[in-house]
Amino acid sequence: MIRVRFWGCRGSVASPGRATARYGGNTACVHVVGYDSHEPGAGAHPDNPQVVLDGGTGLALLQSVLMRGLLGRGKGHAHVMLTHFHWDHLIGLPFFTPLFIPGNKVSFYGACDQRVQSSIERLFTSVYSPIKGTEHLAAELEYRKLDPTGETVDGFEVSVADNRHPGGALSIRLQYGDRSIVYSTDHEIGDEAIDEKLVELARGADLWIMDAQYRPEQLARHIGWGHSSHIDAVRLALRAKVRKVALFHHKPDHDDHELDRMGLEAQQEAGDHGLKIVVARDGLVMDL
Amino acid sequence: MRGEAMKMTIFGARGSYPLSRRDQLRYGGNSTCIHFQTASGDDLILDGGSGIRLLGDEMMTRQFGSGQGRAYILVGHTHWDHILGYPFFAPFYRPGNRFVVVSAGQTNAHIREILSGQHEDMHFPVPFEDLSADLEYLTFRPGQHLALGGFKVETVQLNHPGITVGYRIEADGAVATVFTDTARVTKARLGDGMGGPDPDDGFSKEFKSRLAHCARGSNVLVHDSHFLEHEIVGRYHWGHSTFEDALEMAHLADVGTLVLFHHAPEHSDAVVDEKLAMARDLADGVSVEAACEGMTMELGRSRRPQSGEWQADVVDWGADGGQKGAL
Repeated sequence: MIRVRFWGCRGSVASPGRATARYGGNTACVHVVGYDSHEPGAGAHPDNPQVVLDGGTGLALLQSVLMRGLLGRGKGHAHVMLTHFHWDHLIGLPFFTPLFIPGNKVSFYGACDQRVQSSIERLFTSVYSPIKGTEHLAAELEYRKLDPTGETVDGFEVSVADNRHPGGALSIRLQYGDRSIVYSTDHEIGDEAIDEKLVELARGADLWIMDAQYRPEQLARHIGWGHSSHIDAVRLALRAKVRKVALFHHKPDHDDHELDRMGLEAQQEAGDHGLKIVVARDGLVMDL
Repeated sequence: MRGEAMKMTIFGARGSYPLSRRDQLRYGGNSTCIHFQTASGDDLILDGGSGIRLLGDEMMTRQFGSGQGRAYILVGHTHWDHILGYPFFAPFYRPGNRFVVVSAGQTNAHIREILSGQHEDMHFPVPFEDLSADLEYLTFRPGQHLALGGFKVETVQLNHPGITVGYRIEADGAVATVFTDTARVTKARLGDGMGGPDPDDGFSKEFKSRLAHCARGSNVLVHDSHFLEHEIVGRYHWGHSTFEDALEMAHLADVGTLVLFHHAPEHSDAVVDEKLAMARDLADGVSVEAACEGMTMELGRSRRPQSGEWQADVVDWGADGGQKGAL
């Protein structure tokens, strides 16, 4: 089984405040845990197989959970997969506590190992960080390219496909046992060849986490920015016959009421095809 | 909107990184940004943490929305939490607006390179060259005095890794001083050129009196209060203070109001409330507040504003002048 917990669902820049309190204002970070037992609470064990998707500000909340397991004792191995290297997906990493504990290993994955490494190193350079360089981090670091032909990471079968986004971004599918989720943030729907590959990647998944930053009328003013509307997301999800969609990468100035409305509209668009729509929010747990 | 005196508004009071938590709604989760405005409407911004996005939205409802705004931006230092909001500052994207970025930079790095580094295409979709506002750069050495339009500014290096600047900002006869990101100097010397890292009694004494001189008689001292006493043990080299350190500086400098600032991301509103209550118990004549997003203070006249001779080392004459640079 898979447990997904959302720690950051916002795009572009963190937007904390009263207007965004229910859905939260942290930038992208999703924790995916695999577990086999049907015992109550099995999905919450800190040392289950697990992968962190993106390192936005939500990572600061996730790390307190991770620290309860082996990572808190300098015996853990964290797997952090980066869809791409825009700041909102990285900016939680300079304060990622497991990096400061000797004995831990942290593997960073992305479309290109050199770009992963140069991004992490840039986060810690002296002009931007008091750490003054990754050589001062206590954990062992590893930088890896996500294999486009598929691979296994901590018990998850991982496969990827390219998004349509300025500078590139990856969609990531994680399969554990007979459950699967697909994470497609920072994708602009509309290029048929790219969309078809994503539909193939997502086909039959239990959950598709999808970029739904804009309303259609906002999207019309932001063509080429690399994000989608909630309506386009639902239409693509119907083609892939997934069970659930989590609308993700919320616009920083969309308040809770706006996201409520977008969720309702998306569910309406899904019609009676049996597709369930959830608006992702910080703290949301989904057991699949 | 304009009053008789300089006005200070907090747009981000959180330190280290912005964070969204339901138990931090009152003090707020945006990282550092403070706005100052003189009675005649001159704007000055200190730091570009995530709070600057909200300030930018407010400024776009004024002359910055039609590309007719000008403002000074003081750079405290360039760690992420103090700069990560600049790419989301709407007035930078409106042609006609003019900003003077005032900075001591970092060792071997000009502020322009540091800010443009945030816009590298791998990390941000909009190139720095596409900011359509006019950005100019004014650099100084910590310790120098700056005349910036209607603002008289004094500077001092703080105790934090790299180069971090504390500012005394005076306008309309009122003074606000901001010391954020500074560590307990009796435990560590962290800044470039401070000869650290080990404590040094002579240096500590001289350092504290230099800061106290800069903050002397301020109406308001905004000060780093990141750690509680039991948290700072073992973390003296992290570059932050406790409220006790902030109070000590407030007393040394004889300020009117101390504003506790740079709240730790781990601290809920309840913890900040407790920090404020403990600080008030020890305040001994100083009024104490805790910075929260949206807090505005109209600053009265300082007990010790500048009188007589005041020499500026670096001058920007503001809208009517045009002459600028080191004197």
